[in-house]
Amino acid sequence: MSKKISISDQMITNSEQEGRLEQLNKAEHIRLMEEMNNDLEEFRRDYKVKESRSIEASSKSILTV
Amino acid sequence: MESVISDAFSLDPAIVPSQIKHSLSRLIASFKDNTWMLIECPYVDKIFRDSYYLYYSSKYGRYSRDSIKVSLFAGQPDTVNFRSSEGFEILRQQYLGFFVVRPTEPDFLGRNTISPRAFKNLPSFEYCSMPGNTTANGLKFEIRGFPHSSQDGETYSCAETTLWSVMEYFSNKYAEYQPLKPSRIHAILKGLSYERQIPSRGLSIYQISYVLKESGFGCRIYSRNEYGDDFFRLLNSYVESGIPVAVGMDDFGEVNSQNIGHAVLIIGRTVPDEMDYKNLKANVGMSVKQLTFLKTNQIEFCDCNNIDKSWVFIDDNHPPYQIGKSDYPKTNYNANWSQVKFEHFVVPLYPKIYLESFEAQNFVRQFLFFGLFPLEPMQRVYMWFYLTSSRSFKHSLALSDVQDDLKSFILEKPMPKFVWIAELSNPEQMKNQMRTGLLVIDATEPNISDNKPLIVAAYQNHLLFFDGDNDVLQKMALTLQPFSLFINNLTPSEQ
Repeated sequence: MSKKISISDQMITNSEQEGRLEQLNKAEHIRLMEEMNNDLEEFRRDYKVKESRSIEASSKSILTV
Repeated sequence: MESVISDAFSLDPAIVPSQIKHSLSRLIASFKDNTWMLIECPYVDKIFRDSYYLYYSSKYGRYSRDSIKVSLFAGQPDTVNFRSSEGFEILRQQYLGFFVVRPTEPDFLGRNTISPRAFKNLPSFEYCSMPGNTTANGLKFEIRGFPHSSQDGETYSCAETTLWSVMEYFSNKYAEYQPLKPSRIHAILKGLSYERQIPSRGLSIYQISYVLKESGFGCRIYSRNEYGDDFFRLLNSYVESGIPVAVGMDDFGEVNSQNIGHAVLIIGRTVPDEMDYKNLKANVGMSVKQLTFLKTNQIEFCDCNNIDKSWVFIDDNHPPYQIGKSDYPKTNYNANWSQVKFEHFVVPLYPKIYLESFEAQNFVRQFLFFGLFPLEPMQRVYMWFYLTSSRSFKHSLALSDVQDDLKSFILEKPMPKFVWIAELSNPEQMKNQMRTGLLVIDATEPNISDNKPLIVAAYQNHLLFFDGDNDVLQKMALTLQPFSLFINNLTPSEQ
C-alpha cells in the first residue's frame, strides 16, 4: 500500500479554505502581464542586437600575449 | 632546480638562471617559505608529449621528450613516510600540489595544479576548485586547486592555455567533458583556419568560444562595447555561479595602442565586506521605465553583482591565483599595458541553459517592478543573482534554516537541471546575513512571456507559483521568516 504525502497540496488546500489563495487571472492581471510581455519583447530586441554585435566584435580581437 | 633543468634538458648551466626567471623563478618565489619541493625526472607529461609530437619533434633542433615533475609539500617531507600507511597520512596533509617543468625555454613552466595554501600574501577568496589526482614518489595524492600553465609560445599561446585550463577543470569535475590537448585544439579549429595554425599566433574570443562549443558547452559571448555598465554585472553573475569565465583584454582600440591582446580566466572573487555593501550604489543599470518606477515608489534596488569585487585570475604570464579588479592589466603588468581593458568574455554554459544572465536578470527586475505582485514602496532591497544546479539548490535548501512549510513547498516543486536564483534582503536583515525573499527561475526556459520562467517566488509574505493543473499564477499569503540560505557555488580558499 502506498500513501501520497504532499505538503504543498495541503498548503494549497488550507490556504484556499482560509481565503489566503488568489488566482492572478483577472482582467487587470492579464493587462499587467501583457504590458510586461511587451517590455520584455522590447528588451529582447535590444539584446539580440547586442548579442550579434558581441560575436562580431569578439572575432576581431586576437589574443596572443 | 637550475642544475636539474640544465642536466635534464642539456642546457648550458650558465644561462639557465636567466632563462627561468621569466616564469619558473617567479612561481617559486611566490611560495610560502616552508614549501619543500620533491623533484622527479624524467617525467612523461601528457600535455608536453602531445605538443612534442605535434610540433617540437618536427624541428631540426633537439628537444627532450621528457619533462620534470615537482611536487610541493608544506614542510620537509620525511622520506620514510613515503613507504608506510601512517607516513602517507602525514604526507597527504603536507601535500600542496605539483608543477611540470618542460624543455621549452624560456617558458619552462608547464601544467600545474597547486593549492592556494602554497602561496604567501594571498587574501582569502572563494573560487572554482577541482579535485585533481596525481602521484609523487610512487604515492597517489589528491589536490584541490585550479589548473594553470604558462604558454610555450609556439603550440600554446595565452588563448590555448586558457582553453586547456577550462577543459581541465570541467573534465576533472564532470564526466561529460574531456580534457583538451594542444593537438585537439588545433584539430577543432582546422576548419575555421585559412592559414597554418602552428606556430600559434593566438586566438580570438570567438575562436575560444568555438572550441568550447565543440567541446560540449553552450557558450555566450559578451562585449563591453555592447553591454556598457552591464558588462561587469553580467560577468559577476557568472563568477557567482561558479563558472570559470574566459576574458579577452586588449588595447586595440586605443590611440597609442601597444597591440596587446591577452586571454585570462576569472575563477572566483574575494569575499565582499560590510563596506562593499554600504558603498553599493542603488538603481544602477536600469531602463528609464524601471528608474521611474523605483523613483516614484522610493525604492533603492541594489544589485549585489554591481559590487566592485576583486577577482581571482588564472593568467599564464603570472603564478596562479592573481587578485585584481577591472584595472587588472594596469596593476599586474608594466606601463605598456596601461591602456589594456577587459573587452569581451565568453562563458561556457551547460548546453541546455537557454535563458542566459542578461535576459534572466531583466525578467526578475520586470517581475519585481511591474509584475502581478510588485515591490512595496519605500524600501531598500538587496538582490543576489546566480545560476546553480537544482540538485545543489535543493540540497542546500533542505539543510537550511528556511521555515518548514516554505522549504517543503519548494522542495516538492519539480525543477529543471539548472535554475537562476534571486535572493532578496533588506538592510536590517542583511547585517545578520539573512535573506527575506527568494525567486527561482527556470534556466531552460527562453520564452519569458506570461511569467513562464518563474518556478516559485517567496517575498513580502506571499508565495507565487503556477498551479500545475491550469497554468494560472497563484498568490498565497504566507508569513515569511528571514532565513540564511546560501548556495555557495564557490569554494573558500584555504590559507
